[in-house]
Amino acid sequence: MAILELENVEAHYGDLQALFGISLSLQKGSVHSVIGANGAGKSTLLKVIAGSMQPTAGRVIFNGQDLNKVSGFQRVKSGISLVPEGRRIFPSLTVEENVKVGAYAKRVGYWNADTVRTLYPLIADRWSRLGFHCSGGELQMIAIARALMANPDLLLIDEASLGLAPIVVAQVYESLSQIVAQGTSVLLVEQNVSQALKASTTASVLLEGRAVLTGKSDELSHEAIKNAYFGIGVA
Amino acid sequence: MIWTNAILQGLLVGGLYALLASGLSLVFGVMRIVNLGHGDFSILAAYLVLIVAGHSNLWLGTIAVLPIMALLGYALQRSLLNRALSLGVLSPLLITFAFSIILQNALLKIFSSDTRSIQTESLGSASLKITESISVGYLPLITFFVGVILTLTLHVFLTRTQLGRAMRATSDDPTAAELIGINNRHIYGLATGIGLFAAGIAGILFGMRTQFSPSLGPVALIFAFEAVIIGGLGSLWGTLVGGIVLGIGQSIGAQINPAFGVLAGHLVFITILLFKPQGLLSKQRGT
Repeated sequence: MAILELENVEAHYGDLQALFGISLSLQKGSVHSVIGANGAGKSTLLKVIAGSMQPTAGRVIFNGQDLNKVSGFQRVKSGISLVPEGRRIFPSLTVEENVKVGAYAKRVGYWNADTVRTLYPLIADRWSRLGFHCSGGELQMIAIARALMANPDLLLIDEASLGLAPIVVAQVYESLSQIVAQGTSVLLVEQNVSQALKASTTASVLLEGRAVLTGKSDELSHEAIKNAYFGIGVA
Repeated sequence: MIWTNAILQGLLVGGLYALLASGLSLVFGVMRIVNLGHGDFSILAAYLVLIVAGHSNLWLGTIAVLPIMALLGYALQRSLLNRALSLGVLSPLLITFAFSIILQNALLKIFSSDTRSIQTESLGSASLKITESISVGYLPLITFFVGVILTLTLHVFLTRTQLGRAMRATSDDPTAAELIGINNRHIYGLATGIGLFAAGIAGILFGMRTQFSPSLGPVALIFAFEAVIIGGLGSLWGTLVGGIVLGIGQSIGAQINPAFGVLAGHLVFITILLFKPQGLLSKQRGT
């Protein structure tokens, strides 16, 4: 069963069109990665799904419900959480407060302050530190923990590994399998192609706002991905 | 002994300024809106109590008026100020300036420019004798403790409750707050609601202590604003300290020469602005 379906989604920044007829289907309990170069429209796609940006055409259907009339903050209540680009941790709140405020939407489920601390022991160590004073890797873990506190059915992660040390990237990806094991579907935006393919069941490659290649992660050839990523052989 | 008395009386007046300022401070802290009508809203609350108390009694009046102030704040934020916020920093400022003008003139039209006060029977003049030469009025004492309790309550609300955390999160980063399911417009409405609730408490206690007229709002705003700046923007405890510093400054000034009171308060404000412009207890990080 599809948890998320996009039908011919288009989006604009003013006159500039960022997404062209994107259609995508994400199965419940799966991990889908969206790969693409800078400016390919990956973050825009996540913003449209999370509701912080309105599509100019097309439909976003989540759990069978058309989301076009549902505003951003209400989508969290419906079960979509976004880990935003740049992590956006609240600087004047402590790590504990950042995590706990994530439960604002009051959705019940496996994730709570204790289970996310078990998932990320590192942030448990930083529990009473201000968000302002945390390092990049810590911020990413806090951001994911904060999103998990809403017990989402669908977790959107923008640039999961950007700017992180390899060991932190490994920890973040390791946690992903535990998140999926609790029944959450994940849509992942990545620039790190091999990492994304390893972690996901299906993948799409975006090129200049169009989905040029979609398939099962383990069936996509490197050659095909490379061509799609760089637009080789695309008219 | 005269000076001890001056400092003590100043401290108690400071409690009133802190009360006036706490709502202003909260609204500014959450939305970066300076509510230029804040003082007029507190005067409005005093007049509302006069009306309600005329038909029942004083305490019932106070209990009835404060929720009205909170609802008014929420409604004004959701209807006008939220829209203005999306248009830039100047629009909300202009709107609150309009609130100030409208309130002053409406109050003038309805109640005339005669000074009024809220009658508290014996409470207004009763006092507690501390030594032979120092005694403090019950009403100033109550005002001071209400100020401390309000600050403490707001502090606990902002740090210990989920709604308070959400308010601080929205203040930090409204976009990220929406991403965790917070409706910013609702949070802003609550902040202004609490702000006018606090303005109401201040206005009512002010009206019990002294005489007021429709034109007093801007003066109240200036004292409140000075208290916020002295204490440091964005810090509630700072606002309490700022109110007390301002009160003591005025009181000592008045002790030197009765005409100097208000002027001395302004001088204290300017001195702090010169030497510690970020305020005494500022939480602002260097950017």
